[in-house]
Amino acid sequence: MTANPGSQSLGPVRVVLVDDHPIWRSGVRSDLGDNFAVVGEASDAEEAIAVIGALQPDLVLCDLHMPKGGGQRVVAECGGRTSIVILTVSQTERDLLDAVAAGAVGYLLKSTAPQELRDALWRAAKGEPVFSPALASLVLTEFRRLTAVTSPVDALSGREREVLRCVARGHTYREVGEELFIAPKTVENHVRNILNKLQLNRKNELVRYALEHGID
Amino acid sequence: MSNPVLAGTIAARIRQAGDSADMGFVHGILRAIAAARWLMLVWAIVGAVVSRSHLTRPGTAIAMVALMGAITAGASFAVATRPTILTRLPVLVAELCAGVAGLLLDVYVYEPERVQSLVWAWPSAVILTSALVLGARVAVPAALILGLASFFGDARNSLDSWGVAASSKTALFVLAAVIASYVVRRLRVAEREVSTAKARQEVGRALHDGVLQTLAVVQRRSNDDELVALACQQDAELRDFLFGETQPDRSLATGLRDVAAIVRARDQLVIEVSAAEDLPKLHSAVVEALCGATREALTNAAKHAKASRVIVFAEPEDDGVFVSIKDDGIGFDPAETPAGTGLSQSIRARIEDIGGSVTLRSAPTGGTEVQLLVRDR
Repeated sequence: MTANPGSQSLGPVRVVLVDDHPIWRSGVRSDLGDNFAVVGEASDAEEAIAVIGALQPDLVLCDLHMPKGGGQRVVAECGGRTSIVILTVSQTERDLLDAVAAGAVGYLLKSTAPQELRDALWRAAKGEPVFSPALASLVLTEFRRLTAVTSPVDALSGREREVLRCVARGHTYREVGEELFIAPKTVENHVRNILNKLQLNRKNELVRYALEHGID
Repeated sequence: MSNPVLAGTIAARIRQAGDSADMGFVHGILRAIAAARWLMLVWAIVGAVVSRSHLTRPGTAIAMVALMGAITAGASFAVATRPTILTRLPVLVAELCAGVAGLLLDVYVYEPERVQSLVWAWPSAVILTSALVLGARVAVPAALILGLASFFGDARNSLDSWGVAASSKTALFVLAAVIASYVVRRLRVAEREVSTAKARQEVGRALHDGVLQTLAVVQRRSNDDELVALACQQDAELRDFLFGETQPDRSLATGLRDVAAIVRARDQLVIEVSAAEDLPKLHSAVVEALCGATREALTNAAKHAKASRVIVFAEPEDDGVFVSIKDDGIGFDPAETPAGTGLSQSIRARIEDIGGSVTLRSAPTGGTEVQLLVRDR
């Protein structure tokens, strides 16, 4: 994983905040606490890509809708080098799923309470996916859609679907483990596999779409 | 919305958009009528020239055509500068009088033998304009008056066939009045609805990016409970107002968000609603039962379970829906709590009434989860 606050850098997690609302950035900055250091800020996608390139942060907190290309563009350009968590107001947007499929490690709602935000970001910095119930619900819907339209290259296993449903219903990894009689670590592995399958299916769908429409 | 100034301003903005779309619509039709006037003027001129040898009173005919020309030019000028003039009652009455006079004179200029009608369809302009502006209640009487005028005009001339001719013309005028006012009324409503919806969307987008974001910050960052409560309430009400989530025939997703907004504002509980996009269309009784049960469950979470965060989840399930309400509260021990008493009673009653089932799960450490399963017949 790109960032590991435990072993790689012994200091606080180096964070870049990307949001076109300064008031929001200052709010998040004071919420993050001592374990995080905001090393840079950007107010649009272009600026964000430059700042991330120059500072190489451990973690990026990025708004979805911004001028000059939204969070999706930032993810597409920088997702491979750093962990990007999308922060959004609404949970019903389709492009949210695109951002996750493009390589964001997850997303959080802007209404998330400070303590929860810190916990989730700490896990994200360690390379864990930030898998909120709302995201699990979106992914479930996406796989239902894929199955209805075509048979997905990589369908969810029965166990993965169970895990996904538990997370969507609001269970923590520990609770999911208790309910399904598996270790929390196994739950995490399932989640990672699910996200990989999502990305694979998305990519495959794009390729098939391109072939069907004669785009090279 | 409890902020009357903001709500009033937004409502006025949206209404304004509807009004201006409506004005545009009215102007478009007035322009079309003005163009039709020119066509009918050309008809009158050509008719008068072709049948000039039959004109027994050419002076009157020329005056008539000149008057028609003047009205036509005037109407076109008004459309280009101040179209609303054409929709004023005195103007409409004057035009109606001119139409009546024209229909009466039409025969007079050819007496004793009528070969041509100069005025012919001319009065339809005033019928259409009044249908547009004042509706059938005024347009139909206007059509009858003009029909009557043409009746008297024709009666002077040929006594054997005037009855049929006059009544068919009257019928045509009335028909035009009725159809025009009906179509115009429907179109105006549609046009207004479309542009109000568009304006609502625009206002929504603007506020979504600004005000709602700020409210989210306040809700999350403030230590002032009263301020947080106020921000929550405004957030819920603003969303409600913007996205019009109060329609009686709401979808399950909308209903669940409504319910969450109400409890969130009342009990300052963090509630996340994730409803799948592909929920089936449900009977409104099913939607209301599920929303009612969810509201009860949320209230329990706030009042009894001492929860701080609740997840509401809904997804399609075979031929029905599954809804779960999970909190992070103190939970209860199912072994020690007799099933179906107190808190679950109101939830159970609602769901079993529509043929669904309720599962209550809790561990003393893991909060409470209420699961609702309903098959839609």
